[in-house]
Amino acid sequence: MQRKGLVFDIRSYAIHDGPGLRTTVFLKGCPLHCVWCCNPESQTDSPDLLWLAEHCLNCDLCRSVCPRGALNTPPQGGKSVALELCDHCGACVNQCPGDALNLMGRWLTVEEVLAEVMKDALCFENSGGGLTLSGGEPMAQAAFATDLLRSYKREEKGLHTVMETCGVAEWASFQRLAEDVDLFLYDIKHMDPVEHLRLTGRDNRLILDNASALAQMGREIVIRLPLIPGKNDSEANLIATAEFVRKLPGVNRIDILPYHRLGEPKYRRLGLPYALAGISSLGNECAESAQQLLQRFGLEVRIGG
Amino acid sequence: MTVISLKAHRAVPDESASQSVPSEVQGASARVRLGMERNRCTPPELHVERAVSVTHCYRETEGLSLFTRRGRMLQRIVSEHSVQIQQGELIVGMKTLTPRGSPVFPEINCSWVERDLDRLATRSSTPFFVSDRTKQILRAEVFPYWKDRQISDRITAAVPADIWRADERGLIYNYFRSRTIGHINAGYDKVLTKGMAGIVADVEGSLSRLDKQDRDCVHKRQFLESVILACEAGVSLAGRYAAETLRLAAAEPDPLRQAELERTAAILNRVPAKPAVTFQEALQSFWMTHLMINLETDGHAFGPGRFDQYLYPYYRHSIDSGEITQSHAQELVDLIWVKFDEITLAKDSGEAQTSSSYPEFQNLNIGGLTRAGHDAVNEVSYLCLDALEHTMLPQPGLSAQIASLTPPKFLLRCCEVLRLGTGMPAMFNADSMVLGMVNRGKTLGDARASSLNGCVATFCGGKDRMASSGYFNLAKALELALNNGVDRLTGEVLGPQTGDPRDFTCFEEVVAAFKVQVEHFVALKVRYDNTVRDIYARYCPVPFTSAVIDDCIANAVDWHSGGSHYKIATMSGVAVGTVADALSAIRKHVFDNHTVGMAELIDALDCNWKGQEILRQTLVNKTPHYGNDDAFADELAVRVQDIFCTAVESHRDTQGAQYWVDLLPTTSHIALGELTGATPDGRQAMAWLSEGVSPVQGHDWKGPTASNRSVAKLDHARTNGTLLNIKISPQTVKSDRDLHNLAALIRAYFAQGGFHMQFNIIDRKILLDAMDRPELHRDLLIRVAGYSDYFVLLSKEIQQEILSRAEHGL
Ligand code: SF4
Ligand code: SF4
Repeated sequence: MQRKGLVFDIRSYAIHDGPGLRTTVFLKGCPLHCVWCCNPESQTDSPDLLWLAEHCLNCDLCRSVCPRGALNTPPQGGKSVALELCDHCGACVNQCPGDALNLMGRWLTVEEVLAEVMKDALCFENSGGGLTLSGGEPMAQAAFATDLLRSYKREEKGLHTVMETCGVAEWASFQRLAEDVDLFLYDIKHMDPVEHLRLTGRDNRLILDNASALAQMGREIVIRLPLIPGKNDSEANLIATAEFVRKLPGVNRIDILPYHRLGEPKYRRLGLPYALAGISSLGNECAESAQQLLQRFGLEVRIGG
Repeated sequence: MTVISLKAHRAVPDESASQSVPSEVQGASARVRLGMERNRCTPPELHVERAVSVTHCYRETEGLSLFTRRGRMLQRIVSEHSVQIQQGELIVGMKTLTPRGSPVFPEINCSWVERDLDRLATRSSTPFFVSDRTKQILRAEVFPYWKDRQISDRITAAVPADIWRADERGLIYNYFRSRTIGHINAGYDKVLTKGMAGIVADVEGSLSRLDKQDRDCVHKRQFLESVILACEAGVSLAGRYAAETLRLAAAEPDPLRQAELERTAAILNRVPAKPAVTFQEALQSFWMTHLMINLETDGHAFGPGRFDQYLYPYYRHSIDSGEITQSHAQELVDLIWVKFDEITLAKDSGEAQTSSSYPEFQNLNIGGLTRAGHDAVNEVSYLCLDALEHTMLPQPGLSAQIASLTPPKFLLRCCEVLRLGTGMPAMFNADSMVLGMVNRGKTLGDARASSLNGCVATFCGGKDRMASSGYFNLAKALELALNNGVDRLTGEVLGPQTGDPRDFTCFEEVVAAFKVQVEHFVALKVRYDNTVRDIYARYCPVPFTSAVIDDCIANAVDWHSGGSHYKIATMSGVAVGTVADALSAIRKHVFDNHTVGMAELIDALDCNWKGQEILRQTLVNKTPHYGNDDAFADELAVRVQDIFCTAVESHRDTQGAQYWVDLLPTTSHIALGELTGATPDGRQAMAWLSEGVSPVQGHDWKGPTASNRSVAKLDHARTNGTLLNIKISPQTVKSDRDLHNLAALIRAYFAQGGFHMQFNIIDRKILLDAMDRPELHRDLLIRVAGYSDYFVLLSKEIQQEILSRAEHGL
């Protein structure tokens, strides 16, 4: 049986996920739980049922079609899903007239994913773009990611590949697919292991080791630094990051991703609390002063990537 | 009203002359800025002068042949034209006394002016100031004479009631019922190379070859003589400007300006009578020709066509001979931009709504292919892009022709100018255009030398006639197919009875009924067009236009009577996307899934979805839509196009021209939408229809590449033009890398056979509209710092935040 991957979105015309026009495949599941995550629906490793209050017509059709009685209308209104009952069959989603219900995450084969990706082959060719793997964390489905990259590169004669990763995976997994990735967009969230643990749920040892090992292998890497006000934007952390990056052979670019609150509505849709509720988006000046600081270490620093 | 004083004629200090900065980094010169400011500050005004000349001339020439009268009319217009040279001008010639003014064309249609005269200054769309004196003269001297003589009255009398009804109910729309056919792509190159004198010599040759046995000989002679009158009028217009320029030069205290004026006067004494030699002569000759066309009739889309091609030899000559510098050449082109921007035309309030803007579709082309199939980009192409960047004026409409061999440098420069946010240049696929033109009978060389005219129509400049006759509302045809020929909004029987849709047993019966309605109204529209066209042929010869379009002189046949070398007729289909989505909804829910009954659907359409929101939302949200590279829906769009093309292509007009389809709406998708009942795609009655070949607003949620793949499935080469609008956020075109991506997007669409793309940079206006009417903007993808989401899904608060960022380019 062919291996399937849990894909939560395939988005074409992605122009910020590497060079050229790209199609980004988002794989579900993430070993980290960053408090600022703007794609919370991507963290779990099973499909999620999403309900959008703005679109709901209160027709109750969803409840009537659910074969497992998993949907409820709580007294305060809205919809709630009994996670232990729902088997993600999608019946309610297909029925929902308002498109208020969405199933985030579909199990797809490598072929199915590539059929979608290759539709934009002409755009890739004309722009030097290609396939980007993102997530969640693509390495959370490392075996599927390996198959996907290999088929794209070898069978489809695919063009450029990018992987956005937080670096959390066994080194052996990285080793298996590294050759098929032309560019890693590699997140470093905090240099201090304790802080890292506090902000993401894990320490950063594996992340830093893998970054060094990939750089040793000669893979092309751009470091990404999501900059969160009051969380990791201290001068000390910026300096530590710059010093680490400077030591990576062949790596000299950092992209700053300034924090924004645009992920917040998704938390509401998922019924999750938003940990950064009181924090506002990072201003241009803060991003620029971080940029200047990092540049002093001889690094190429872009804002926004 | 403020009218800028035209009395001062001092030279404008030219900042660029004193500095040796390369022209790329300079903006508009002071005199260019002055012209822009003058245009901006002068309210469009209705002028009476032309109307009076024409009325007097017609009165005095009764009894003469119409050809002679039209020739004399042009001479009269020119001799009574008030000649104005504005401050700082190097290239002169105005359509009316004030910039952006409109003459009245009483011989064609003044009944609407009479009707709207007191409201013209205050109407919401394209108002024109009218002075009391103008009103009084129009009422006393002009209107009374034209009753039943003007062309619009003849059309009203000649068009049968069933056609008027279809027009009023929004099935078809004919935009030359109120003004001439327009769409003139004159052979400006002919005037530049031969001069008016050379054209007159051609006419004399043709006169000498007339066969006395030919029973049309008398007519042909009269026509040819009228062409001579028209050419003479063109020359004397320049002569009058020359005299005025000299007069001003004599009184000019500033020696610099004096020399400029003297040079301009000398140029006007040579062109357009004689062939142009220098770049400035060529531009002046071009402009006099363009003015004459604008004074002869009131059609829209008088297109300069392949401007960079016919001007290049003169540019080369002037630069190589050291006569002008590069920056001087740039200034001249910038000044021509200002002149284009002076051109407006007051339109009937009904039409002002379907094309609701002042710009008159003066489509200026750059790039593309040479007649031999090589890259045609030259220095003048870049001067034009710079002129747009310097002036940011809405006119002329700039179109870039992009062939697969077009150098990346040119395409990237186009993209760079595009991101300034004027929506220009519009991008055209030259290869697809050539394919289509050859299919429509042009030689390969002529096909490559073709240009875009109007918004996206294709044209072989200097030898063509494309009577683009107006719109055909495909969604209304579907409405009739789903209502047994009855108009859902008025209850009138309009079309053939194609059966009660409740009895349809399969999807093909729906398509068959649609086909019958389309065929019926296409035939009706052809009758409409023919009636109108024949009236223009009979009552409105255009000797000047005929002078500059081959082979009117050789054939001794007026352009309005079909004298040109090529001629086609076109019909513009509106709402391909809406109909495709509507058919997709019927096929999927009624016939494939059996989840909605036909009777239930028809009832919901009848009551405009009242109490049927769940059904409506199901149809909107659970139907495959055209625009997402989904075969189910796209195949239906392809079929809709095929049905329409097949129906249209089966006709010829009374002058023997083959009918072809184009798919462009201007803004008619709004006006025609208002006359169309609810459609099965979930669209409410009277809401907008989809536009051009674009998917239904907000239904292409898979991003631009998927949308383009869908649109490219249509057969673009089979049409005389298609129009695709794309929204892009400013952030996606910020860096040079982004420009490469935009270029790649364009190349990919063109490689798939797409024909035209224009880009709206998402600005505050679009975002505000998306907050108001989210259903039309579900495709609006917002990208902020590495993150993207659909704008309408964001909370109001976040939307506000993005809105405030939009001000600083996201
Ligand atoms: S089916 Fe959809 S619209 Fe209806 S109640 Fe359920 S979630 Fe809301
Ligand atoms: S996905 Fe299936 S099981 Fe889950 S709530 Fe919907 S209908 Fe019920």
